[in-house]
Amino acid sequence: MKKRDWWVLIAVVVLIAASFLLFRKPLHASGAYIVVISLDGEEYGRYPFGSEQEIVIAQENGKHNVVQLSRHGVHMESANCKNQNCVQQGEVTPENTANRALGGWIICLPNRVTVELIREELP
Amino acid sequence: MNVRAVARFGILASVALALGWLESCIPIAAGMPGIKLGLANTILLYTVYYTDTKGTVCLMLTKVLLSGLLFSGLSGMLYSLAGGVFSIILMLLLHKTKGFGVIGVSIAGAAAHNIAQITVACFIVESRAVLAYLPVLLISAVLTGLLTGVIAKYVMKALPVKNTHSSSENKV
Repeated sequence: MKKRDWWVLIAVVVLIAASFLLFRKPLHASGAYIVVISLDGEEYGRYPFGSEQEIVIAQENGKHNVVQLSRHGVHMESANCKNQNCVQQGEVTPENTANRALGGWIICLPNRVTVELIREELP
Repeated sequence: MNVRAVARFGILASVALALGWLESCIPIAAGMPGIKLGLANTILLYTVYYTDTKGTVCLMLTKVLLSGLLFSGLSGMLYSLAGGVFSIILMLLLHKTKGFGVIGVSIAGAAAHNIAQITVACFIVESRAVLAYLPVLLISAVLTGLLTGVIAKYVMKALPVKNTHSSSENKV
């Protein structure tokens, strides 16, 4: 590697560190776990975590997602998107948000649906 | 463009397409859009070094258009066009600046590709989720950029053909 190649490497590492600090907030230390589902950037609904529940997000344009909440986690049960990335992203649990590549998120880009596990501070 | 250059362009474009298809068969991260080996970028690196700006931009556009039509569809084409344009600009600039090697150019190109894709995704879904994905994509860009840079370096060592794009006298 040439000398200036190291500059590139250092610049990207700085970007990685900065984007981690800016965009990856760890969960609150206390509070109740809830699941926030958003559609097109707008909040679609908030659901208490810890009980069995199936949430169907059916859009007028035919796009369709099914989010499954269980006692220990939340996952995308099915979606009619082309790439099925959201289904493959697997389950989010309170224990794995720190280690998952996507943190507490499940993202379905084609259907513009996001699911996030957060901890809400009690008032 | 002479006949030799046209033939060369055709070969490079088809190899880039084939590599793009090949890596779509290698799932390195299930459910993680945008994380891929970027093998086709070895071809673009080769054109950055051994053809002119026009040829490089044409090859990138050809690759984006054809692999969009053949494999990824219209929405996929939008992501790869943004990634392609931004990474080619950066790679050409670094190549023309003294002191950067193939590996540096490759890593910069990979990172630029992913930043452009995240930007497009931000327009499609206005959510913090997309930004939370940026560090993950950048980490993958360092690793895959390093990989394709090293591959491109050896390819160029094995095929050191200079300037056949504009010259008709050159023997391959």
